Amino acid sequence: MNELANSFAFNNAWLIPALPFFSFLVVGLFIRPVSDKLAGIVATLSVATAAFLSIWLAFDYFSAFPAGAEHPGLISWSFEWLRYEEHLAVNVGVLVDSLSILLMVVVTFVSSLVHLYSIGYMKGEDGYGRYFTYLNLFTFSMLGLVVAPNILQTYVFWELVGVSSFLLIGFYYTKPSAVSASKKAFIVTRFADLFFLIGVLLIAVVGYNAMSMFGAPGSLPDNVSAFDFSYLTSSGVSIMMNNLGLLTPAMILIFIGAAGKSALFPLHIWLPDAMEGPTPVSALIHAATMVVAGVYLVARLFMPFAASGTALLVAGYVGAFTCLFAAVIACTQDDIKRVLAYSTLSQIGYMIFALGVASATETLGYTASLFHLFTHAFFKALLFLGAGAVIHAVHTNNIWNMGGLAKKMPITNITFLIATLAISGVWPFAGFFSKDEIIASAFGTHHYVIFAVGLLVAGITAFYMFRIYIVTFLGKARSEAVNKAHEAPMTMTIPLIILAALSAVAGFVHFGDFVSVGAESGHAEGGFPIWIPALLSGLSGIAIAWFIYAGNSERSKALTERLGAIYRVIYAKFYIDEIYLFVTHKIIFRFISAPIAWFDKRIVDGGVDLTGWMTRRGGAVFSRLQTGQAQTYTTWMVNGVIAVAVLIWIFVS
Amino acid sequence: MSFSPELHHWLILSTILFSIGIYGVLTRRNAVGVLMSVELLLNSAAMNFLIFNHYASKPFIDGAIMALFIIAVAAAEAVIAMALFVAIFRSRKTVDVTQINTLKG
Amino acid sequence: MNALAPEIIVAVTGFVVLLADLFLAEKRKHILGPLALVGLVVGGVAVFNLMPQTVEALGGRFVFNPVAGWFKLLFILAGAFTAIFCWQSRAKEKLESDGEFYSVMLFTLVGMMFLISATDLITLYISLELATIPLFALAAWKKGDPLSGEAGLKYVIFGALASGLLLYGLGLLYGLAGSADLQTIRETITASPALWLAAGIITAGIGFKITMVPFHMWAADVYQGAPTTVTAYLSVASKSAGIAFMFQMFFGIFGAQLSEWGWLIAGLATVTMTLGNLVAIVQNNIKRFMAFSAISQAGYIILGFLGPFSESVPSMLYYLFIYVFTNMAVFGVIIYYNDTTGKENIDDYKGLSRTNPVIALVMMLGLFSLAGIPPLSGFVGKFFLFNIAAKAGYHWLVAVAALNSTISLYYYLRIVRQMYMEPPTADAKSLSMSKALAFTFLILTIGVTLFGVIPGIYETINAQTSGWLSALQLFP
Repeated sequence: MNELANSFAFNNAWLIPALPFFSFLVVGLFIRPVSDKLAGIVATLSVATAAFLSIWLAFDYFSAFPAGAEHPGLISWSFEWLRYEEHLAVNVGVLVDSLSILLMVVVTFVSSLVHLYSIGYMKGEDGYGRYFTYLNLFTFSMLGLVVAPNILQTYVFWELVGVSSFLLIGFYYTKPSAVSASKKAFIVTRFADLFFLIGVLLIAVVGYNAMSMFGAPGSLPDNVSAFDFSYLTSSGVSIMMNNLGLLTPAMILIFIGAAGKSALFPLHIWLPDAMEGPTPVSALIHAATMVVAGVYLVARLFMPFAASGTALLVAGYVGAFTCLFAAVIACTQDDIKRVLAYSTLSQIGYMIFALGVASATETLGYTASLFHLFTHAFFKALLFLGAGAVIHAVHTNNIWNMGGLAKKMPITNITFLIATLAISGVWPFAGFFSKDEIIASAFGTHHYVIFAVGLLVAGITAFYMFRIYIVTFLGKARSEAVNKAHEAPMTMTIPLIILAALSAVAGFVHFGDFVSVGAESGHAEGGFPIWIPALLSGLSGIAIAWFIYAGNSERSKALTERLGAIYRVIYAKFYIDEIYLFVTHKIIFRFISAPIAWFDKRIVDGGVDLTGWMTRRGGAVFSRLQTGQAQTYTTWMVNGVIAVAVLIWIFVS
Repeated sequence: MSFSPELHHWLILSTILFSIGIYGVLTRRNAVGVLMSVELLLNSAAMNFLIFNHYASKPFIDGAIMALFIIAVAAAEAVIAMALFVAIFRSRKTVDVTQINTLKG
Repeated sequence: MNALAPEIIVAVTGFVVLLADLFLAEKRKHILGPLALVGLVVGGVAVFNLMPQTVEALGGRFVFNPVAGWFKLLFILAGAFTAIFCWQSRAKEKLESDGEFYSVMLFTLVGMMFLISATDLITLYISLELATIPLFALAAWKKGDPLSGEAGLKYVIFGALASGLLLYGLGLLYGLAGSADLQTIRETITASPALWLAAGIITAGIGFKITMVPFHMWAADVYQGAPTTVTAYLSVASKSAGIAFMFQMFFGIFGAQLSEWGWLIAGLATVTMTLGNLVAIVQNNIKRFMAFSAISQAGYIILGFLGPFSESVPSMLYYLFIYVFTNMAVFGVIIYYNDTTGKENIDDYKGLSRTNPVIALVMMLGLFSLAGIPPLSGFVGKFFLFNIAAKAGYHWLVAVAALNSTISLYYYLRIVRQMYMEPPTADAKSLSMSKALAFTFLILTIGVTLFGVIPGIYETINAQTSGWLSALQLFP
């Protein structure tokens, strides 16, 4: 037995994903048809209970394994679904370790606040109850994903997350743009998932073969399955894979899957469009949970990633590029949610490159990445929910139709400001600590290009965030709607206040003591204080934003005109969507799909038709043997006996 | 001169019986005739058991017991078959197996 | 407990039902069905009680072992579903002779249960005949109906020929070994032309029971002509008994020769599933259609004889276990629909999903499970069987089987299309269903949908049987 055998939260950890699921069933089947109001309350309570249990579990776990000690992975609950061979089984279970606890706390906590917020935000919408069942389903999928003790369960829930986000993005199904956005999100992530699946199969096949040859590694139980993370992260598999030359390809395939969900360049195109969903959904899916699934996956498989340095390096550079690329686009967007979406891309880029610069020995990046995941979840959810409150009040997404909202919506104003400061990396807000650690990890591992990008993007982030803050909340009102705006109801402001408090203080957690990988926890390099240039970069971004956007709007217009073509290119998001369209429509459709369609119609369909015709003919011919004459049948039987006996005679003797 | 039959003589006899039975099953048009041919088959098999018991398994009598059982089973089969034929004759006025061919295809 | 207890219980139930039928007043006869059911349940409990042990009786001529136990459970299960369907059936023909129907069926069950426990040729043959001859009468149960009579006639002619042939083959085996004891035969026989002849003839006898091509010709006509309840029983219980007989013969006698015969089994499996599938496509009568579907299912089941038996027998038992539920679910719907409307053509199922959504759903799930669509039970069962063929090195056969599954999907979908895509005919109406029948359908649906994914069923079969099987040492 383990140290947590007496912990209620540990023994019942399966309830954490199960509660939203039960609620999904009950609300969807029984409550929704009766009362929308009750549906919202039940859904919220179930997730809040799960959040309570997760925090309880975190408390028990870190009491048993205090800061700085080793944090083992414990299986709280496991159910063998199907066992094919000794070392090949499909299990469902709940894995409790520091990584899964971190994700559980973040997901349940943000999700319950989003549920609470949605009670106010969605009031009066059509499909209010349907919305909450989807939210429950999504929360369940995400929790099932993060507690998975084996990669197959991860994959199943990975797809389920894709489905539920598809439902949520397309929630306003009467709006064509929402429908096309949901389809886009689903197709892009599905496309990436295909690579993920191939990667999973590759690593599992090699792992299984290795285990059937050499047996289970000594440190693991005998019945360990080749899909289990405990086995996949053991060094034997990586060495075996590496010897076969398969490790890097497999890990890159898995990384493509992660890039799809985490919207890394060039698979990022679905995320900005996904803002068509209701704003709380954006806060939940596209800030705190679904998009960090990729980060989670890389962190979960960090050991094999680290064993293949190349795969990790690819991740690092893709992350760094996304980080810069998205930040630049964010500076030009006028839609408040789109700015936040690009900002999310950029922050995910931070997390991924932090993982990319880490290695089996230098693990600071790992800790920093997850630290940023933790803090980012709070302030980005807060930003989205704040944006939601603003949109709710003025009924527009365009920041140039806002302005001067600080007086109308004081709570939203202050909480939004705190989040903006946090994401800009200003001391003492949460983002300062985590971002500083990421930049320090890049510096410490001598990835100077990535380090420079990180430093530069810190400034750009501060710039675009203050741009929207200043334009939205300060200055004069720029539309009639603003004058009619008023503060959001309690159910919406309470989550804002809670998240603001956390965004302010979450940075003081000694995160590295709790979440780390490998034998020793990584520590910042002594010597050069990285936080000084990082903070300076952020502050100068704020200063430039203030200079351009505060007071009169002439300067920004002048700047836009001066930049001219460059501005337009950036404003059009570097035409990435157009490139996709061009490639798919003009190249793939015309030069590959059209000939294939012709081939399919003429030759494949023809072949299928022919086969169908032949089977039917065959059926008709053989059915004619069935003459209805008993003695024909008996003749067949006697001939059959002779044939079988003769055949045996010929072949055996 | 006295002819004393050996194992193979007996087997030839039972095979002839068996072949007649098969021929009858395949060619008789009257269902009762088919049934009689089946009886021939069963009897040739029963005979085989007796022969083999005599030549190959002397102290035991399994083969002889089997032959008795075969007679009993054959009787049971005949009872069911005859009852069936009677029932069919009532509804169709014939027991010609070549005429009874509604079910086919 | 006595090794014979389950057989005794079922046989006594048969007699009790027969006597009760004589003495009960006409309007109280409806308790005969529950009576038979109770007997079957008690018999099943007796099997469960004996379960993991190996017990001998009748001086070693009868042996209860775990494999036999599982087969007996299958037979009892199939018998119980048949009894329920007969009990709930509102068809005219059964009202006249309910009690006799149950007792005849129970006696055939006793025969099947003896069959799998027999250890010598005499017991084997007698029990096989006990499991076959009464079925001729059951097929012709509708007395005034010429089609039912024709089914009985064809069945009896074909069956009698098969029985005569089989007996001749068994006689040859007896002569080759000089003993009627199965184990002695297994240890004595050596390769010889007489053995090949015996094997060919016995294969035909088995082929008759399990509807293996080219010994299947009777099946379609008999399935179509017989009362639907009997058809269900034939396609499930009688076929399982055939598999039990094949198990006795192939593993019990030809064990040592079996590895050389793989290609023969593979060939028979190929023609059986292919022909069954092809002919099923062009059928219009649903019972006839199910006959060909059952023929192709037999082709899948005999794939199990390709592998080492300690592995393949659990897989076959598992498949049969699922097959009982799946086929009974489909036949349950056919019986119910036929009883209430008198219709039995595929076209008559038009629009069933609108008029009777529940039974249409049961039917669809059953058909999809037969086609082997994941995650329904039939898929898992097939998966294990295909796995055995693949492990034995018959990759081409797995490809053929998979192709056949695809063909079968085509014709199963034909019925689903009738039920779900076509509008109902003018005279179609919503039908009522008794609680007992509804409950039975619920159990069957659970079997069809969940037995594949509930873990532990296959594991239990495997754990209980593989130990006994690997201790057998059939291959010297």
